[in-house]
Amino acid sequence: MRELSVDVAVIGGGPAGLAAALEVAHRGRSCAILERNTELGGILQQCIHDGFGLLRFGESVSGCTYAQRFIDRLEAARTDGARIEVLLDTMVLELAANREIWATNPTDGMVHVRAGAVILAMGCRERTAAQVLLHGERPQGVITAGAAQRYINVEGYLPGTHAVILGSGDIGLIMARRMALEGIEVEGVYEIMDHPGGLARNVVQCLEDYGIPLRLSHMVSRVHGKHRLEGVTVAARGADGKPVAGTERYVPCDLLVLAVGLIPENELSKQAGVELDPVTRGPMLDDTFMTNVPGIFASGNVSIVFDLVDYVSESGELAARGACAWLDAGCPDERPYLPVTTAGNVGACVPQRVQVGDGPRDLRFFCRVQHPAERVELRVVAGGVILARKRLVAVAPASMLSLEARVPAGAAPTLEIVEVG
Amino acid sequence: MGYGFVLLQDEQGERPWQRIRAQRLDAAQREELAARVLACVAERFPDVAAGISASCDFRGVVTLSGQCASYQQLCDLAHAVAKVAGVRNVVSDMTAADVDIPRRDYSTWIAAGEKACLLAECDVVVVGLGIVGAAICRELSRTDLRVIAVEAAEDVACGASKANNGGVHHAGGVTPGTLKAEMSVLGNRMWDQLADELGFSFDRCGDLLYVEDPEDIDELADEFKTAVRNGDWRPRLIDGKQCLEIEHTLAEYGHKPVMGLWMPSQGRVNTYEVVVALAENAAANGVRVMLDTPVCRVETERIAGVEDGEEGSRRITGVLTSRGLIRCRYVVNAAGAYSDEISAMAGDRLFTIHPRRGTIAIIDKAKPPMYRHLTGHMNPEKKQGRDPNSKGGGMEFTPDRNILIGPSATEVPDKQETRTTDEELGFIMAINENPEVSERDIIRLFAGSRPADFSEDFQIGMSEVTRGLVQAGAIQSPGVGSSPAIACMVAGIIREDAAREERPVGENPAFNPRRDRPVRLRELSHEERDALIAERPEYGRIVCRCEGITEGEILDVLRAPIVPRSIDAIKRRCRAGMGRCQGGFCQPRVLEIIARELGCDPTEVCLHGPGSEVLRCDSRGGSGEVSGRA
Repeated sequence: MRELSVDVAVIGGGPAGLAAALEVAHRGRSCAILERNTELGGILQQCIHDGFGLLRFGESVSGCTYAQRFIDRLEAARTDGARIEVLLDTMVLELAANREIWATNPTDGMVHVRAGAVILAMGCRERTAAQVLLHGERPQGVITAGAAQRYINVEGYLPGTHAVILGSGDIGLIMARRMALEGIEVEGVYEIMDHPGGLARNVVQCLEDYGIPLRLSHMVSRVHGKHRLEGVTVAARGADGKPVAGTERYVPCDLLVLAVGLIPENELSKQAGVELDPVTRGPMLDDTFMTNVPGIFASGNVSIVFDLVDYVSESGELAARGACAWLDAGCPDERPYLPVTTAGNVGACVPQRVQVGDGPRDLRFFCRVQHPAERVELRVVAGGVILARKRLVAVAPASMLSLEARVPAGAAPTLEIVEVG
Repeated sequence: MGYGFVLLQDEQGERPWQRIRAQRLDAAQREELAARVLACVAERFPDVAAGISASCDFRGVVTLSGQCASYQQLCDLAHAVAKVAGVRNVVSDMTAADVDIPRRDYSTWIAAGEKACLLAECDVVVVGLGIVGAAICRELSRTDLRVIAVEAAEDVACGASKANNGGVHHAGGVTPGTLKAEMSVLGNRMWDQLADELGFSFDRCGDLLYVEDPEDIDELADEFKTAVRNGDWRPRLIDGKQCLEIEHTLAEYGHKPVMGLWMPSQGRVNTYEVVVALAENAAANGVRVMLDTPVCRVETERIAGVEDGEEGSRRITGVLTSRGLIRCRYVVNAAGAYSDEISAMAGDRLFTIHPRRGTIAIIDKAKPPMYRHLTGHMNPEKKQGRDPNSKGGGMEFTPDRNILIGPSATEVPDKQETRTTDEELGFIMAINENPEVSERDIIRLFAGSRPADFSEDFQIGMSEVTRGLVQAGAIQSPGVGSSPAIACMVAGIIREDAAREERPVGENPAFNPRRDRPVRLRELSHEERDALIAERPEYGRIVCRCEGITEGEILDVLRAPIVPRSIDAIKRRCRAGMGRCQGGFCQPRVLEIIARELGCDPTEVCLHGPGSEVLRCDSRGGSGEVSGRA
């Protein structure tokens, strides 16, 4: 049994947790990272493709490199005396509202952590075949894009020879290219929506450059095969969500890769009584990324599924600054809030509320649009005054939008998208 | 008979299901019965009657041939014939115009089996390791009989036993006078002891059926009478207030029960978990278990002077499996969906299995059941359109309190087909009564097939045609709850027969009824967990995040008496991969542990048996073929 007492406990050592821990240490406070894997970096370690770090480092690096830069900084900080404990192979089992944590690992047995503040950084998980209700038998060969990525990039094995990809989320697009490079025949990417789920740059670089067709408004209506996948039936999706009769087509394949969306992993958050936003499926956050439970903060994909890791790191730093400020303020239980509202095409957004505050503050907003649009302006408005604005040539649900605004005390901001022609 | 318990008797001092079994027909009576069968067909199915022919054996088993317009009509016709007075059961050789009825091809296995030499010799071969076969094996392991269990699939519990909702049923829903009713009531009482001895989860949750409309009270009272007639344990008719006392939350959901039927005998298990426990205990007590060993022929010798197919015309000498011949005196037919084929292989055409598929949805634990007990609204209107031969399922839950919705009931010609369809999903979601639950909460949708015969009763007993063939087939709902009683009955039949043959069965002096409950870290206190991890660090490494399963628990199941070899087999034993991410994170880790522990190449590890290898090849210098590496 190991007892641990720290200013800030960070649950998860992926990009959000790493950035959060570094920021906490930078502010002179002690912290512990509880990481369930045997190494830091999270899912980045299986992302051997580039495209990471354009905002943060001004260059495009691989996921592993991006993670390693943070790990190196963390090691350097520790050498310089920063109080960062790293517990690897450590799974958090229980989280209580009083910021008491029970975790387990092979060397310590049970780990009991008392933390001044907690930063949730558990990331997200993939939606599965059950959630898209694939009908048929349950053969081997239907796996999530993340699992395929792990098998191919980390384990060094190919899970199939002929693949169909369902869903055009970024991991699915990345995996289309990856599989094509590994000699797996990728027949096509089928997307139930009328627009791609992933970033435009990935559609171009991962599909178009490799001649892999993207079929929008299409679905997989049945999987065939008992022990191993033999093929899938694909069809156009009708307005009722069902296959359009007469459009069904049989595609032989031994691998169906699912890239049908990500869900923030908030099982621990719920244990602690954290209130979730049905739109983001992450916690309801304030402008310091604190949840409704005082002292419990959230960052990265556990709070809202981001598109760029650079934003994930930024959110980790925001949460860390929030946690340190909350500790500095003597852990106040009650803070008065005003809601953040959305208007127009704006869908999911964080933070969902802001502190009333006693002076103007520079706040960072993240949001996604509900449907694609062109020539628009993203604005933060309060009391009829435009606090910040950003012109955008095109927006799509796949891309996270981010905007900083100076919000006066007592103002309830609204995020809106306005067509500007 | 020494079944180890007292069987039910009716007013005449006999058991109703036995009456038809005692029937023996001479040639004239057989012709007469066949004629009545054809008359029934002519009346009910005039469009196809001209093409249907019927023959009848000495027991009143009717064999039908000819062509029906559809597979559904074939089932309806055979069901109708089974209800003709004097018909004991129906064997169908019929075809359907709309669909091919697939037949299992045994020729490859026969060729392989004939090439192999003698595999083993024993007293009893149990065919099939679903819940029925496993319970029988465990019961027989109390004796000094040498028992071998053969299973065609890669693991135990691979047929109906892995795809049902785990009900240990009350007896309010079974027809009085059937063997089903009798086994269900007797089996039900055996579960507390069984769960205690074998260390599996068992929840005696009780079943509350209530009505809100006074007009429905008669229907409720009928079910009560059925339960009482069957001898169910303490069923009670209660008023609305008592319903609310038993199930407080009914009021919260706005229900106003006026009367209820409380059946405390109802229980819930994870069937696959029970099968593993039974089979492991049987193996620990000396039963040899052979997986991946399909039976492709039953060896019999003819009895001189008796015409083939007549009473006592054959005797069991062994079974041919794909791995070779096993010589034995008794064959127990617990082959589930294939029990009709095993029986026919032994020369006894007693029944035909017509698989009835049921689809079930498992709901994320984040949406807990509405009620503490199995509680449902009896709504006669809702029952309209349901399959009359199936109880039709509803809102249920597992001992781990995942909601289960279903099963549906669809006649399918293919015994292997267990696919899900949009129609059946629609049926399931229409059953759903929980306002919190929607399709979005389904973490797994699966289907299994009930091995039903046309008499819609269990087929348990010594074959009248082939001595030594003990039937335990056509076991469908309430088969799970009945299985301990079925096992006692089968063991009793063998003991009695052996005694008659003057080779009385002795006891197994080393029999140990207990199997330790596997270590489940999630059930332990922090201190207990910590102490265990100090002993075995693998208990400190979580592999399956969703269900909190450790590497140590996976290693434990890989070192058990019956070694699981696939990812699904591991899942059934310790729940790794059974949670909301469905193995998305842990499948690669579980695969790695299996390969390491069993000393095989990762490309050889299967999801569920041969042909389902997860990895096709090594991406760096492998041979590029499945299992291509030495």
